[in-house]
Amino acid sequence: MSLKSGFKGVFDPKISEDRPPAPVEKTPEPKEFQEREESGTWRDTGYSATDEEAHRDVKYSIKSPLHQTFAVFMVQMKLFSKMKWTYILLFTALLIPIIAFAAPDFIEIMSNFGYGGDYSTTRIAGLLFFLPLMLGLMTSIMCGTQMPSEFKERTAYMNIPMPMSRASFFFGKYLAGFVMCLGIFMFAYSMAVATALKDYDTIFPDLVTSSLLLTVVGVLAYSATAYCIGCFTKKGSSIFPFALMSFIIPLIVVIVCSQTDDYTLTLLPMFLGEAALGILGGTMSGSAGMVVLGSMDLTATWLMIVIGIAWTVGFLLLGYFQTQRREM
Amino acid sequence: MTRTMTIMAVILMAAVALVPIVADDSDAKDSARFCDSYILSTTYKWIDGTVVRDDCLYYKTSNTEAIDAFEKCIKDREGTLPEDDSRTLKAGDIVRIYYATKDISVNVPISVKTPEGYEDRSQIISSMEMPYPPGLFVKAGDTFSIRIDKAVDNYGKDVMCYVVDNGTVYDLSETYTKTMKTTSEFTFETDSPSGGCNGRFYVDIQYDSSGFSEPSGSAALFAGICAAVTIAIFCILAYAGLKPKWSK
Amino acid sequence: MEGGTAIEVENLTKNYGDFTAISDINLTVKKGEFMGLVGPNGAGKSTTLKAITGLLKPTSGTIRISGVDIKDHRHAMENVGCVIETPEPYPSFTPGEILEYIGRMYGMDKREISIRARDVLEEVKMWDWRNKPISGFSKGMRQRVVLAQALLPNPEIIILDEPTSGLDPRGMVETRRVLQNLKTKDRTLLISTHILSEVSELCGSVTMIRDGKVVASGDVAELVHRSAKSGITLTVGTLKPVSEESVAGISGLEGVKGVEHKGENTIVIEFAGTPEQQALVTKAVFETGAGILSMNERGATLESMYMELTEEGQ
Repeated sequence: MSLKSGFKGVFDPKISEDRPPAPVEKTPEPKEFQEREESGTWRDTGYSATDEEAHRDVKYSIKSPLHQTFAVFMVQMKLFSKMKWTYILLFTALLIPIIAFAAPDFIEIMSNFGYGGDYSTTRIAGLLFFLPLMLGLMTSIMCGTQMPSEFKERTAYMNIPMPMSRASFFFGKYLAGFVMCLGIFMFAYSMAVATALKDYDTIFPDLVTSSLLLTVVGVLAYSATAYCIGCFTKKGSSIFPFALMSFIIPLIVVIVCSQTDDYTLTLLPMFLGEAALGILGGTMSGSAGMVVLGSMDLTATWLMIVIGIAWTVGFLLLGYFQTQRREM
Repeated sequence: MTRTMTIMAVILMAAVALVPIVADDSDAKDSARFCDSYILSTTYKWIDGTVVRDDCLYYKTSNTEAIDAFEKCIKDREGTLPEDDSRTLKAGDIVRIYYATKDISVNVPISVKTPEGYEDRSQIISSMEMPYPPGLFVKAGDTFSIRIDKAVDNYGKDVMCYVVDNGTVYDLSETYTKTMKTTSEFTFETDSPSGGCNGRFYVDIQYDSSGFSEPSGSAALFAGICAAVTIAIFCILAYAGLKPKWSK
Repeated sequence: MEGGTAIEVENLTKNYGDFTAISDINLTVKKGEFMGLVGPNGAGKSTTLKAITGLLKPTSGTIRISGVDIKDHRHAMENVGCVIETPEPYPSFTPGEILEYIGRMYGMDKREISIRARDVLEEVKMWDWRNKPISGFSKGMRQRVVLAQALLPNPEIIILDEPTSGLDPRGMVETRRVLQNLKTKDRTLLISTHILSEVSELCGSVTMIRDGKVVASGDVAELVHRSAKSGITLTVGTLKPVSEESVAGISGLEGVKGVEHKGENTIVIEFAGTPEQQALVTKAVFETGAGILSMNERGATLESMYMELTEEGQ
């Protein structure tokens, strides 16, 4: 049994020192396995061991909740690595330079919409034109069906009885979904900035940083919402969270804002994508929130970030309580 | 693995957050020349007393190209109509004519169905506005002001510059101040030049401004940071997807 | 384990709104004991096992595993391997990847996982399939993988919900063999099953549930013998006819309900008594001097007890 030292508190593994060693059982082995053992590793495992040692009665100690959360995270990442959708979404960002270089007229069309001026950030905003829409779509696809599929495919019945808290299970899966979505959008930003390098050398680093930060918080909020909605549904849905975050709520807000002439509601996380483009100088976006883009108050991005994080925490807690209470 | 990844994530995030923000707020008297029109260039051949039109190009991709073309036009005297120089032209000589216009029409090839089948024709899409008004960059939350002291076109005529804000027209010969709630490229408009061959090619302005910004961060660095995070996530994905060694 | 108790369930009740699934279930499984949980469909067996393994929250009652309250789920299930409600492994994973994951959750390092995984996969005869995606497996193969994941961390306690359900006869035999091997390793097993012969073969004790309540619990042999209505039938084949005096003598023994001739050289004894009394009856039969050709016992089995107890409720 190997012990690893770690930080105190939640990192502490439970050490079972009080169990007396049980007698070693030597089970009779077929002849073929005896021959293999002589080659050096125990039955081709790659590790050296005697037959006696392999069959010893050993007890294991569970690791800390954080380790287990990480194990769930890695398993979910493995699941993502085996899904075709993951690669399709990841490489959607490659369309940015492909279209920009293979279709130069595209840059001309962008310029007619105010995206081709003298500054790199407006070009970058143009290349990320569909960012708000993609925020909703990709987070819904990656995170909307994570939890429901566990129950639909009955893999939850393998996971939940394990010596692991439901919190580790819940947050480990969410973390993987968030990281995957983050990877997609970071890739998109790197492609947009690299494409803009063709015509520009310099950027406004503070603006691009703010835009990135708004997008990261947007990913947090959108993925938490899709994940939480999934926890309440039996079959899960990628369409409903996408429709809710990208169309239904933004359209309601647009109608309310136009009637009241008060744009406070644009601080909601549904407009983080538009804010990320607006902060770069973008004047239009491929989304329902485009209508209010020009009227948003982007001097209060810190407030949008705080609201976005609070929204994320709220929805995660809601989803966690639902998962905790769920009876199987 | 967790500790290493945490350290990597912290370093990357710190790099992103601590990239020096060098905002060059320009606050000075300045001058600029911007191209106000499309420059159309047409080549004609003088053959047997007839002007045969050859190619037709228009410059609209950048202010520099347009102005260079006009300078060339003035220097090489290629701005003269063939009829005026008919005494000096020989048969076969090629003459390039430059003229300026704010609005251009674009021929777009289309396929038209006729009783005989499909025929290639062209469709005129008219009035594409000059897409590059001069821009000065303002960040969200910044207050800028601008006053144009002098605006003169290539013929020496005074040009009126103005901006339309919420339906109100502001003459920029007086100081115009605004606090921006969103980031944008501030642009202004000029009065229409006379059209046709003697259209205005460029306008020289002298202006006094404050609150505008100039970019100075490295785009390559940012692209690199974003790419690094992406690669890190790809690596996690790849690592997670590996089969256990013992099972191979 | 404290007091040698592996699983302790006290007054376990689970209500779903107005419907009571299980009521006042009391169950104790000692360390090293193999207990079968039997009952008709809808009796509450799965509900009980789900409550024990933390899949659902009881309305009232306490559950302790190795002395740890199930509310502390992580530590209570630390040394438990279970297969409840036909779980499925991730279809895109291979058995190797599943076991790698399970091993990590139970705190095993890479070396331990590789050695134990090889062991359990060989035991369930899935080693050759370790690298194939589970999506291509039959139901039986998936069940074997799931059994392997329950056995991987070398748990002290194993809880299985109908482990042979859906398996072909060979699969059933092999699964029972695996479970039999656990007896030699001083493991505790709680198994829910419809197949009573499985309980007879594997388990030393049994708990019968009907309509959400425990109707019988204890040692298998003792319960069977205690079942008053069933009794057993002894059919004795002899060389010579048994005399009437001998028959009368056997009839007078304690526990004997009746003796009758069936054919010339065969007597049938209806018996409902203790094992000691049965030994005296057997001795008396031999002392008749008729020459015993054969002696068959029939009747008091787990099946008959099960039928008797489940019949009462109908």
